[in-house]
Amino acid sequence: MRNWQPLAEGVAMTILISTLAMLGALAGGLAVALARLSRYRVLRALTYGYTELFRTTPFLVQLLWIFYALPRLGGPALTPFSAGLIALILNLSAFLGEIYRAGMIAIPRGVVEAGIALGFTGTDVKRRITIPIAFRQTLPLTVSHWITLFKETSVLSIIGTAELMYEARVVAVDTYRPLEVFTGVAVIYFLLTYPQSIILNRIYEKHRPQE
Amino acid sequence: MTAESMSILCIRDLHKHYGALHVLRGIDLDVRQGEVVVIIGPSGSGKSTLLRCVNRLEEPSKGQVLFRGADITAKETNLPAVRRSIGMIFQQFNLFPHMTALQNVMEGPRTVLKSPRHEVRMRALELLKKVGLEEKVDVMPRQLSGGQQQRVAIARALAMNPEIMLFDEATSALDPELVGEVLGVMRQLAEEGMTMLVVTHEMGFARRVADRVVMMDHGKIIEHGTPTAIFAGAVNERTRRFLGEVDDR
Amino acid sequence: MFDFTSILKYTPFLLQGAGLTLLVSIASLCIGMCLGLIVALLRMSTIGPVKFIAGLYIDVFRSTPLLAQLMWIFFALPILTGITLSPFYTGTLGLGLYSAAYLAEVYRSGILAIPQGQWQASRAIGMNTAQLLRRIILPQAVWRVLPPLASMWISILKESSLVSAIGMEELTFRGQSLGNLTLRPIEALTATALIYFAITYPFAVAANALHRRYLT
Repeated sequence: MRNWQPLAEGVAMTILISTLAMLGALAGGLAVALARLSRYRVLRALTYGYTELFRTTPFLVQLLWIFYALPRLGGPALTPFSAGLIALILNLSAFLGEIYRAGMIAIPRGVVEAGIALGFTGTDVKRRITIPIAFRQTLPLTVSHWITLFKETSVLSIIGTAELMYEARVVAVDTYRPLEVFTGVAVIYFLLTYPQSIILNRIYEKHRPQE
Repeated sequence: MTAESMSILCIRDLHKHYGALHVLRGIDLDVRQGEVVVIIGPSGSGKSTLLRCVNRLEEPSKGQVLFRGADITAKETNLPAVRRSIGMIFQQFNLFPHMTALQNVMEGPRTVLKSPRHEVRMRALELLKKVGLEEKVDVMPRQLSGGQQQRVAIARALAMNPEIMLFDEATSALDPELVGEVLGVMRQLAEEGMTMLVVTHEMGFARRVADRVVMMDHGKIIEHGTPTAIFAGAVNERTRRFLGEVDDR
Repeated sequence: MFDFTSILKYTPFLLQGAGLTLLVSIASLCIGMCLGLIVALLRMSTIGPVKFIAGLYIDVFRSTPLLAQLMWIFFALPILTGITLSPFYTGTLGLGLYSAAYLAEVYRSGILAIPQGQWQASRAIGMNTAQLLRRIILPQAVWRVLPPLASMWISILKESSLVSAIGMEELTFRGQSLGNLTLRPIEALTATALIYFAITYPFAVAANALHRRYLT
């Protein structure tokens, strides 16, 4: 109970990484979805390969690859923080990309045609119609992935990123009290995550009934 | 001065194939400035396809569409620029679901014409008032009736100051009691001198508002003339049969 | 620059890891499916405390990271109960409890999605609860449950990689070891990723087909 400071820092780091990763993945996911629907076959194929690869392999393996293997390919040495962030963004972008792609395809063709008939260019259509509508329609899925992301940051502890799980192990070793520490950390995760689900679900329900 | 120089729209020998299906078999049609041309005919005659070829939502397989004298079926045509001057009203309304009525009407001028927000807003409010929806300005499409949505769609098209408006079965998806309000707006536009190319099943509208009625069947124009000529004494056997089977409203 | 041949001779080593991955995943799935069903039924019980505890179980296991759960079972449980589980059993238990929480929700929505009329008609014929569950409700729920179940199986396969963190020598553990041993992490980890891909991709395709067939 004395060692709350490292744990608090862990919580702060968890929140920071989750937020940054989410922002990155929102942009990444949109880019992936647009690439999957692009006119250029090569781009479509490459993006398809990327999404399949990142959705069928474990996140931990992706993380290890980026941390240990990537620097050897000529890139800079990565800190656990940056490797973790990159891995989270690449991973989540693949999932969000699929979701946004499905959302874009589901938009009725007529609405897009209305834009075209007004004189929209392809870019206008994407910017004003396709992306906003797809994004709104898929909001519940985005939210659920946010919750998953938040918990997934714990995996970063394995490469040494100083988020909550990592600090938990450090403190558990320091104090010889794994029972109290790990139980406490589980409670912290629960208290951070569960209310988010409830609140976000409630916000969603509020906007829903208008339909 | 030739007929072509007075025509906003000239369609020359237009053909459209969908694979083996020959939907348009050589359409020739002129629409003069201020004219209201109504196209009638059975389902599958190619009426909608013809309309959609005019603004190239469908690509013609052969033939030409001349808009203001320029061949817009040519490859180098700047389609978005051309489409600004051609308004289209769809059977399914196709309002942007994530925007209010006002935002829908403002969207064209803002995004395509890049006009200043304040001006666009004023004009949009005027147009919504013109179609009788000044009280529904901040309402989302899903909360509007079909007739209301279609009227917003008309306002949206008008916001672009089009030179010609295409109506693709504008009232076919509406409940009967809502049809009148939309036809009323269309009639008003016609009286104000808008050039209109209308595909419809509403014979009453055709009879009262059209300058010319065109009958299509199996991808060809089989007869055309003034409403009086067509409705009172159509020459073509198929036209007579079609008119006899359709309810008059 | 790349030298996959150095890795090639270790293929059996990696594949044994893959075998363990499959083993722990199957075991966890079985636990998850059975326990999940029990929890789902308890969650729908009319007895207040029972319903609450089942709900709490689901919320706790879905709101905490799997890694935290594994750590707890491996390090904290022995202190609490004196029982020390091997990495394999820790992994199986952890994954089992985790998936049971998710599957409980899947089962519950599957059952609740069946129209009220089915319940009423069954009772009207004279069936008791056990009979109508077994003969009418559960068979119908099965169809709705298959697609998410397939997704869960794929998740389990991937999440099993976390058990490497507590020392189980499954595929990820071996991949990492191999990288350290040969000083070729690129080749080792790429090979590991490819094996995971080979295992999960067929199921992903099947899951997609199931989703299209049963949910649209």
